[in-house]
Amino acid sequence: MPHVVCEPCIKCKYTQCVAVCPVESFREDEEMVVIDPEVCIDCGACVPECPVQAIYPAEEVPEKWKSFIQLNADKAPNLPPINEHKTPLAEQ
Amino acid sequence: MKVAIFNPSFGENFVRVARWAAKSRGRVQRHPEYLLIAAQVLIDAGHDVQFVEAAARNFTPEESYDILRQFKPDLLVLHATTPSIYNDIEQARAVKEQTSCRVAFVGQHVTAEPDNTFELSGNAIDYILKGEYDETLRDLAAGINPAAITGLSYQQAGRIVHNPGRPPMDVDTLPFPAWHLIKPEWYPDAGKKFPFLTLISGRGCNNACTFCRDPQLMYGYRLRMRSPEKVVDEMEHDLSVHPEIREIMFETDTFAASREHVEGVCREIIRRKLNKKICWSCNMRINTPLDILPLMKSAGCRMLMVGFEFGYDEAFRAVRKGGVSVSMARQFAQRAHELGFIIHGCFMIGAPGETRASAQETIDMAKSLPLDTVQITGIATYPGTTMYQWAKENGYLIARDWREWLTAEKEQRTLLSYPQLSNKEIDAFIDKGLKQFYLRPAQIWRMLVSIRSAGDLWRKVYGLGAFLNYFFGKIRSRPPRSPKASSPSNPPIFI
Repeated sequence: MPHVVCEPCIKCKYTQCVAVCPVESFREDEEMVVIDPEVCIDCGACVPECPVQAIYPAEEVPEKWKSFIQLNADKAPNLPPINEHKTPLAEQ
Repeated sequence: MKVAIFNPSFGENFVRVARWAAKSRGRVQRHPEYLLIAAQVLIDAGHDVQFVEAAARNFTPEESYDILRQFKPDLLVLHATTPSIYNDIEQARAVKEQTSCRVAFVGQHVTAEPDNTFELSGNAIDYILKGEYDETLRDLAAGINPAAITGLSYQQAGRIVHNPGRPPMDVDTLPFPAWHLIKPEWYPDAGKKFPFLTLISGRGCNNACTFCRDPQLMYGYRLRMRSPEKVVDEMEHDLSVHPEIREIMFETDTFAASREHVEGVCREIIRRKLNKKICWSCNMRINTPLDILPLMKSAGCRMLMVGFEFGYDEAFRAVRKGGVSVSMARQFAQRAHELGFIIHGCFMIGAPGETRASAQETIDMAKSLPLDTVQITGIATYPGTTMYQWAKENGYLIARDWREWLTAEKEQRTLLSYPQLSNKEIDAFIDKGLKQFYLRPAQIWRMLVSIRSAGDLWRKVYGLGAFLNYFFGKIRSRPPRSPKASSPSNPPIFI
């Protein structure tokens, strides 16, 4: 099971997570990042990097954010990769 | 084709195929299971294969040359390591001169540093097989044009050619190791029931630890576990080749990374009643689901080699070891102890950001858990890893030559030195940790009362001997070789 980026990332997009991913599984749109479940190796290295606790293993996603499992899977194939930290939306 | 697979010696008791190549503090030797899998691939392809185990058997170079001269190989395959690379090249050169064979190097070091290795070797090395080498070696021995072999680098007309990499292979197509080429008693280890064999139940690792070479250089980040039936077939095969073995050690780094794999292997062992014939041990992660431990116990698992690593959570993040925490470690150790597993704890000192206080936290953590034995090491830093690159870029890597990876006694040497904690302080914490753990009266008593058989007694005596040998060796130790290399007037060889 891959990891999943959930609701707290929206309009924050801190992106520390993307810099530690060993397989470059993160993708970005204008307001958040998502994880490509086909690429994620489930290492969990990104989890402690997120300052807003937006990333969970798929099996531990809180009930209220379950829809983000599908949202990550749907969005990722159509978005560009992001591998380097950027100025967060929350700080712009 | 006649192929010699050569594990050359490098001083006394050098452990060539360990994760961190050096004379081990526990004075153990490691089985060359990866080389013997490749040997069996060649045997299955119809080649005549000889394995020369000079490292574990402490052959002199001349003894190795005598054996290889008699065999007269067409191709020599050598697993090179970072600290021994000059020695490995020299021994390969001598064999090449005496037998006119072609020479191929494999392993993590040459995968990370192929150009440097070719340059150091002159014309001693013909091929470097980068990454997972089983099928690359098969193709090379089959006489396929080197230009058409993926995963291969070679020298041609004075220039180095790097072919594209080879995709990860299907691990269920791998044969069992050619164990008939070795004797299990060549590989002592105080922690295992002796003699024993090792087993690799899968390749690849879904963790991103910055110091670890295998996923970064050899087998990738995708878990590729072998089918439980194949794994248990191999256990039965091991017993048929060496009926004297008393234990099988699952050396897979990631045995417990897949719950499905662990459960499948355990159920298959029980179904075939193999748990009545032999016990086994394995490497473990602290985030393994605790509810599979009873099944493992029922399947005959005796000892868990557990990567506790650190005594504080920030260190896991500093080395990008994901999904684990100190609280998980405590829960895991307690549950495993309750179920009666022997627990060997693995700890490290020297994570980025390490201080004297945090190093002591890790030692205190080791002492606070119900562990039977521990190993404490400085984080090793090898070329090709994120950790190595980070240390070089930030000026924390003190070595300037591959020969500086070990002490003169071939012991592991800490190569990271931080402003807040020097490499010498890290080494001192390692020794302090080992002494503080083992020299507690409660721990000595625990180890004494655990002796139930002559085999237990032998292991304890061997372990005590290793402990004393390590510390008395320290007292006699001298500074590392090539001191000139650290002089500003002497330019670095590889950086």
